[in-house]
Amino acid sequence: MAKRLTVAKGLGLLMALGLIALAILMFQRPQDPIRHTLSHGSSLVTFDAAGTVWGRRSFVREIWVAPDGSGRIDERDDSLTFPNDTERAEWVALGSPATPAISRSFGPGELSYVRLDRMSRDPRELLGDMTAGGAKPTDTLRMVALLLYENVPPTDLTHAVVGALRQVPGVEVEDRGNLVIFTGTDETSTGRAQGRIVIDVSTGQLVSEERYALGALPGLSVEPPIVMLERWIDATDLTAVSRSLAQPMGRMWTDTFPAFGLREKVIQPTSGLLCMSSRLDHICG
Amino acid sequence: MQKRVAGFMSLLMLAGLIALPASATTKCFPDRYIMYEHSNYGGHSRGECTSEPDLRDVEWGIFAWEDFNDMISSLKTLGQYAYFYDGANYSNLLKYYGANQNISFVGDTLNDRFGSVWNGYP
Repeated sequence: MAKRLTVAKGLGLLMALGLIALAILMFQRPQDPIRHTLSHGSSLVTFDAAGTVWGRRSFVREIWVAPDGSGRIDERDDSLTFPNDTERAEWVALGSPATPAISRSFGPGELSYVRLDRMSRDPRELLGDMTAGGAKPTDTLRMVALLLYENVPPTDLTHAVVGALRQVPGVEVEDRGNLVIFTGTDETSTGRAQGRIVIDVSTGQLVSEERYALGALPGLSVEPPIVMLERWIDATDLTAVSRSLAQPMGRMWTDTFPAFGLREKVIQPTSGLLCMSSRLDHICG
Repeated sequence: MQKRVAGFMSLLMLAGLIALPASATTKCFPDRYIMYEHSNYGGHSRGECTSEPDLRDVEWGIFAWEDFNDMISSLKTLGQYAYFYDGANYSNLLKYYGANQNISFVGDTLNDRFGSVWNGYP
């Protein structure tokens, strides 16, 4: 009897240990990688309270983020240009406010590390989130770009996002090999606007994002369309990348912001694609 | 009943479905900028004294989706200037605000657009 009790106790102990081991396995997360992204681009910045003094800030940006929110941001080639002397004079009158490039390290919790593993992979569910609250096509594209930019999403998540984007009313889709180009145009509170994002479905990564004002902007004497934002992902990695390797590659300015019509050629280091951008013309191939 | 609700909230927090309001851990003094949900300093508001790399983490309610990301319409800067960015981690600078400014409306192009804030000089 005593022996039977001992065996029962032993079995119980083994079962308990087994359950604990199972629980540990279930809750153990794989080591989250350090995320690295190298990108470049330019965007319009306003300086005065009324938002009528404009400049264009160009940048090359590199970021490393660890799961604990520590990391580093290095921005280079930061420059500020103006469409004309009047706009520059207005900026000087404001005290020449800087648009500083960031180049420093951050401690734990000082940067954001988005947990993409908790996001749904169901395109229908994602579509509901994307169009919630009557979001316009340009809003939806911006939302997706902000999610994919510098977060290095897993391929299955990008595929679900692409599947959802294909169903968003008002978003045009163009397939060019592995590249999918989404374009949305709508009326905003400041006039007609257009957004465009390019996603490489073979890598699951965002390739570029562009936003345009198709109408005049208050206080800016430039003919539309006006490039509000243009940024290109040059390289991403899920693990830490040697900084010596992470230099801007194949980047060549063919013209320096002629009347805000940005023109450049870029060779994507990851895919070898040659991309050109000139106002609304965007070619990768 | 209160206890049951608290228990349920703890369960949700453990499951990672909701987060504690940021004020529980990050509140500091004095405020260097105050952001508001609506124009003319209306709606939900929050004062901060540090940079915020992701306004999705700056909440005005108890639920994780009640945050200041893409929600700021007016603001005040107190004693220091602030840079407001489009995305998280200070990506895509949108706007510079000098010290001691009261901005009753950030403007149509920037309304509900900010995703992170750098307080001071980067």
